[in-house]
Amino acid sequence: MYMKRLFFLLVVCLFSYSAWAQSTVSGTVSDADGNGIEGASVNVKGTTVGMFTNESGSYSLRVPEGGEILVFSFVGKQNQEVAIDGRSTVNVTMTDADVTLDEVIVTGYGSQKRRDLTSSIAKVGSDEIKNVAVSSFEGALQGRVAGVNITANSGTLGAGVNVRVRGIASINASNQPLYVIDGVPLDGIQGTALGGPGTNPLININPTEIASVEILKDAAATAIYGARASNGVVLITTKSGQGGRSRVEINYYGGFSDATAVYDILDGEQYAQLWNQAGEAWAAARGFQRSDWYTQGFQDTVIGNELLTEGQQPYSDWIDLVTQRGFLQEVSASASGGDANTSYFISGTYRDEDGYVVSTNLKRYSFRANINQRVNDRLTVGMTLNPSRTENNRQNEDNNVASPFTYGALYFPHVNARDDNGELSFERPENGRGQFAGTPLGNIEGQDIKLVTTQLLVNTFADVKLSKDLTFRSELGAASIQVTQTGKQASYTTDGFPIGAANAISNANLNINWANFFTYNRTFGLHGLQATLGSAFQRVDVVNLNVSGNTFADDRLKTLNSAAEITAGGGSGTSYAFQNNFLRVNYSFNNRYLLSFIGSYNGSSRFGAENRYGFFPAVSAGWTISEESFLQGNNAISFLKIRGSLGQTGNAEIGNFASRGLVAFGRDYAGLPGYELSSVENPNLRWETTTQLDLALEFELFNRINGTIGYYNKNTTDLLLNVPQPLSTGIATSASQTASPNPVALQNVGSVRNAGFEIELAADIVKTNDFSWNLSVNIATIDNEVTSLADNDGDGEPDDILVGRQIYRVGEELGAFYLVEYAGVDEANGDALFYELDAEGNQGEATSAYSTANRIIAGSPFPDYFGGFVNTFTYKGLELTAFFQYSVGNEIYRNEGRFIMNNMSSVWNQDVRMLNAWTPENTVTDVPEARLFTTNGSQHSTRYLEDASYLRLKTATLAYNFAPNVLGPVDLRVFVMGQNLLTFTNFTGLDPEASGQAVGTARSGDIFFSRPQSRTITAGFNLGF
Amino acid sequence: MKNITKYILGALVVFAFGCEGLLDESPQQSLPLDGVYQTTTDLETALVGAYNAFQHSDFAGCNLSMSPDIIADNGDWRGSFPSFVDVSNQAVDPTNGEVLGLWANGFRVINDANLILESIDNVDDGDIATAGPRIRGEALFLRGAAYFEMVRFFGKPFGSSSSSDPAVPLVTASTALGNADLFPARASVEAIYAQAVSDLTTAEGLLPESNGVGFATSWAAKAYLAEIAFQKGEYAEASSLAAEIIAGPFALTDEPKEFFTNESNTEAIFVTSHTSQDNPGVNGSLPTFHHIDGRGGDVVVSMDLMNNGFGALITTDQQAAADGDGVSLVDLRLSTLTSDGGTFTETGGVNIEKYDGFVNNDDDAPIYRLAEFLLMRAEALVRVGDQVDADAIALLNQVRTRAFRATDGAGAAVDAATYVNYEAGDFANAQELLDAIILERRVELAFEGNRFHDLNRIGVNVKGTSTGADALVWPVPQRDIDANSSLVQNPGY
Repeated sequence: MYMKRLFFLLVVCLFSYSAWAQSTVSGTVSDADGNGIEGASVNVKGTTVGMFTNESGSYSLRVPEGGEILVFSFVGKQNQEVAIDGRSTVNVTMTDADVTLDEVIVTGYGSQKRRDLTSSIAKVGSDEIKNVAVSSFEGALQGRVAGVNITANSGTLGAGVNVRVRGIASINASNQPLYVIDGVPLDGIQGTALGGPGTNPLININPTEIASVEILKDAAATAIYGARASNGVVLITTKSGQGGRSRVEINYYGGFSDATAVYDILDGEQYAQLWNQAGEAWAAARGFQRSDWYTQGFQDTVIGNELLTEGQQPYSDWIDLVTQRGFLQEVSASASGGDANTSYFISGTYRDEDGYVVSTNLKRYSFRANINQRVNDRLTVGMTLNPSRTENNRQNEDNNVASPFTYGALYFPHVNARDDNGELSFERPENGRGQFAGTPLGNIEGQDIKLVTTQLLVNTFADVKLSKDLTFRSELGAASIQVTQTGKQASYTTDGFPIGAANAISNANLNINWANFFTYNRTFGLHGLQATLGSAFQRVDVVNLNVSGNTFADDRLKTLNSAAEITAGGGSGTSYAFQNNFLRVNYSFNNRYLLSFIGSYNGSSRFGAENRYGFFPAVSAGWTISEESFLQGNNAISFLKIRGSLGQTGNAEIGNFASRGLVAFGRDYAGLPGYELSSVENPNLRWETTTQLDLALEFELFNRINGTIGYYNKNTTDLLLNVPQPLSTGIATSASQTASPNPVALQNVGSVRNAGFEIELAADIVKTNDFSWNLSVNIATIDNEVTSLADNDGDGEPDDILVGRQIYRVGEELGAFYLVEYAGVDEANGDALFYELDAEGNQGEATSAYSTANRIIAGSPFPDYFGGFVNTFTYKGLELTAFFQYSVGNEIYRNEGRFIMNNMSSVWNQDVRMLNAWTPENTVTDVPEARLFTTNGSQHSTRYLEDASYLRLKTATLAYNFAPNVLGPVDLRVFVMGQNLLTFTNFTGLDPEASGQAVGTARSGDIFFSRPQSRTITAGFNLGF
Repeated sequence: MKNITKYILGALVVFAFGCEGLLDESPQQSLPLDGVYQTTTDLETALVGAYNAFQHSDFAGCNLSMSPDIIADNGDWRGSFPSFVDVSNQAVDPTNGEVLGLWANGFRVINDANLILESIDNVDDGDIATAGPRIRGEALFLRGAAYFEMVRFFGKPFGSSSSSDPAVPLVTASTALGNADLFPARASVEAIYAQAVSDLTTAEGLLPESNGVGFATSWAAKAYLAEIAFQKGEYAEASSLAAEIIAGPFALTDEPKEFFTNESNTEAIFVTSHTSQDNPGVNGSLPTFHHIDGRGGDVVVSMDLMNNGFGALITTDQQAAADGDGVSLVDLRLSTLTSDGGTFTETGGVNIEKYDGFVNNDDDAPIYRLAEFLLMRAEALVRVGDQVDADAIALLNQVRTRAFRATDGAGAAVDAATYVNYEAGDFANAQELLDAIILERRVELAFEGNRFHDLNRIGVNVKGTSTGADALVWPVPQRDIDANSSLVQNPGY
């Protein structure tokens, strides 16, 4: 809408110089209820003469000679053209626009009405985003758009969010879409990881400043971004002012958050009981009684840990000690408006959110000024300016044992968290061997980790009107993002033991984007033509620094200056560049036949010397059947369009120098510098290519039900595949002295197909003056299949690729779970059993010898179908919204099970279900016998794989909108909102929504102590005048 | 107007298609492969990279010293790492991370060495004539050592079937320069031993006698050759090589602890050098896993080592003599190199404290020190001569004299040797002497990565498992079974 108004303004302004007054027409513009509309635009058709209506909806316009028709427009209303017919007063009543069909959709270097679209673009508006109490805007998009699967990779405050548009196509390149905020592609930013999938690099984007988010799904929509568009493109447009209409808005909400679930683990007595049970079994296997250990003394051949005295164990509920009910609030204020030459939007937002893990907190300060200025008839300039800062007081992530939430689940329950004086206690229990230092509570109190992201987004533009039909626009934008993380671990923490440790990292990211393009827009009779031709260049430069040290004199000292020993320091830098030349031509005939061509010619520094540039074309067509005479006047079908597109896009999200044969340094020894071969050269390396077909039917029935039924088929070929090389090649990919190398050759080989149906329906089920019930539903299917892979070893067969517990195999879903099948417990002896395969490859004998059992395709991280549905009920000013999100048919591998559900084979605390372990008296169970220090069923197997289908009441909102004029010029909405209130699932882990992996990766659904989402209840208001 | 349009259009076209140079970016912390391996300095730097790989915690940095003792009867794993639980229980599977780490980092060392060896003849600068032989010697040393370390885990113990027992692939050409078969099959145990001997023999001739702590010398190469001969049961060869080392520039430290705490001690023949920069992580170093203050002591001294090792060093007669004089004997290896001074307490087991740099994980990892060769020669002499050998007893007594201290009833120090040293008469036959040497070796070298290999060598059950049994031969990592169809898995996996 804003784009349309901007364009209108431009037209009005550019041609005003040629007008001279002949007669004056005045009047009032009002809505259906007779209230005057302020800020409606009135212009004389075919001229540049125009103005905005005043507070009472009145206007008075001098109409130049030849001016015969007035055009009235206003956001959310149908445009009207009224013949003057010599009148001096023209009053107009505006009716509501068709919000769906006349909605303006941002398309990347331009915009289009939904009615005219021939591509697949989903739009989520400000109303659906702004009051949702999530810290990241992606969270507010969850479940809203068919075919877009959004999962937070952890419930940790500020965690990264996976966005998957139409499945997963890439095994080794990123699967995240390209984000473009107000025209600037925002990529190259990494979150920081602390033993987990890392933080969200987009955390500084403030949801309340967003006017709309467009998700570009098919090739016709995305091809304009060429070589990095095949994962879809997310266009974020921030709010702008409207000339002639001043508005101030104040928004607030505040509330509480809790974990949606916590582990149900053993208390002190239960722990002692299972420990002793496990110890006896272990001793029995060696032919003696555990209780005889010490009397046998040195006569035994082994020693172990102490038996625990049952009935006398203390108990600390660590999970309870490290979690809290967090408080969160957000307040924002904005002012917008302008006149015929200037429009502005300025806003400020403050957010303060506690996590449910004690001591975690996220604060965000965000400011924005979006200003447009008409300089003269030909030139309009503008700027968006968005400084922001996020302070994330965090703890280690889920995969790090120093993470309080993880450690709280694992640590000895049978010790006291504090001593009699209330001081932290670090007393080791009798069996306290082989444990990390520190306690969960000690880590909370002694760890001080702060991540600060300071971000400046700026984009400037100039629009030059070259002729009535031709505009040139130049945009120069930059994103400067500074990520600084400082950490201090006290001497009594797991990571700081025994003398304190500290570290600091800094990532400075500068992203410069310069785009220049022409837009041509003209109607010749029944022919409409719209063309865009341009070029964009982007360069991203990253500088990283890190230091760590230890040996502190005092735990109160917080910075590295006080560390006696600097143990590591580093600095690195990297850069990449993209160049994009693009053309888009939209043609329409008689408003019903729509045709579009998009092509982009893209280059990147990342590709091999032989393949720097590629061409990405797409064509699309639409037929608005409802415009045809045979459907005119048909009351049932008010709108009907079929459309289709076919095109190619690319994926270039690989390492900046992945095509090069390199030796890496930092392979130091005895204080001397060293290098090793780290990658092998591939001068032919290029982008992945996705060829996508998209077909859809859009309809509106009885003016009540509208929807889209679509089908897509994406074939991704020339995968950027890290073809595993045998470890015997010795390629040293990692400088780590504890991680092992993973030699690969990045090649363009392999292909993946994603296909599915997407259905979106919205219906006004009841629509009366006082009461309405609206239901909107979206559902999408994903049919994913790996269609080819590399034949690496020359045996004529494509080779499987295994990553962790997941497999890439031709004919299977990408990243299907590949695990030994758990066969339960041998009733005779408590052994865990696993299935072997018989000669035909079918399930064979159960065996206790894990090594001889066979792995099978055991599940899929892809849902069969997923989506969301919203019920909205309104009664007068009262509004109740219930938004459900669901996913059906996907599995999650609970890797944490090997620690917390290993039937006490180590010192870790256990899930309470482990109490049901096999004993000679309890032989019918699926929990193997507890045997201390002995693996019995805790190998990777389907024992830890679970169906993660769920239905979740994602948000429920009760709001009251005060009727217009009740509060004078003030409009007010008050609301209460709950998030993640109810979850229906058979999944026994903490959260079926968890993805557990870093945002770009193809793998998902392998979780390790992933923290669950929070349940929040907030109340707030939106006040405007 | 027309002109403006023309200029803008012109500028756009130039910008769009004429600026390919804009896409030229260069890496900042890596160099292209064709820009290195060119000069003597390049090769010296590459060599450091190879040592760094050898020093990896899954290789010489920790695993080679730790795993042989917990597979065998010296240590028990009490920590939470599932991978080491399985190592200790002789129950690794092909996905085990320690198995993968040993294989992967061994071949990393081998490829690093191969690149140097293939490049060295192409270097033609002023320094190569002087430095070249040493560089070649160090590369061959690292390759030979890596093969020897790997063959002892991935192949059956050396014996009569070694010519057909599979070990690891034999790769002597570099991956990057296109010379290597990237999908090699496994070579035999015998072939890998032969390659190790060949590399180390050549290396010995090229290496200097001293080269800085942590770097290969001719003595280090000789030490490897001695142990290879010893491991193969070629005792005469082992005996003579050990004798050369004993005659070399090494001396026992005054106390056992000094070898571990003083990095410039007199006893070290070869160690990998660790600084606080090398292994700043928590997981994976020797002190992390062994020291009670590391992670609480994942590795405990087994009751068997306490009872049948430390507890059996003093014979009944020796103890009676000491008691008669009111003298108390202390084994410094127990009192200074274990937690709680080696006294067994009810709070759990005892931890070894040979590695105490648990703060910065900067303990050097021991590969060879003089005491090992005193005991090697002693054992080899007895095996070759099959008699109670006086020279062997003298060598054994050197180690005991260093280890034990004695105090009289008043607390004054007296000569421990009087009480703990053996005499020929203490042994009825050669086997009894052998038993005493092997016992001393077990205690002296505990947690330095020898016990499993010793039991394999002498054919004694490893915690109840017969030597050469499937469970004692590590599997080929599943990662490479999956990536290389030329590889055949070991039986039992």
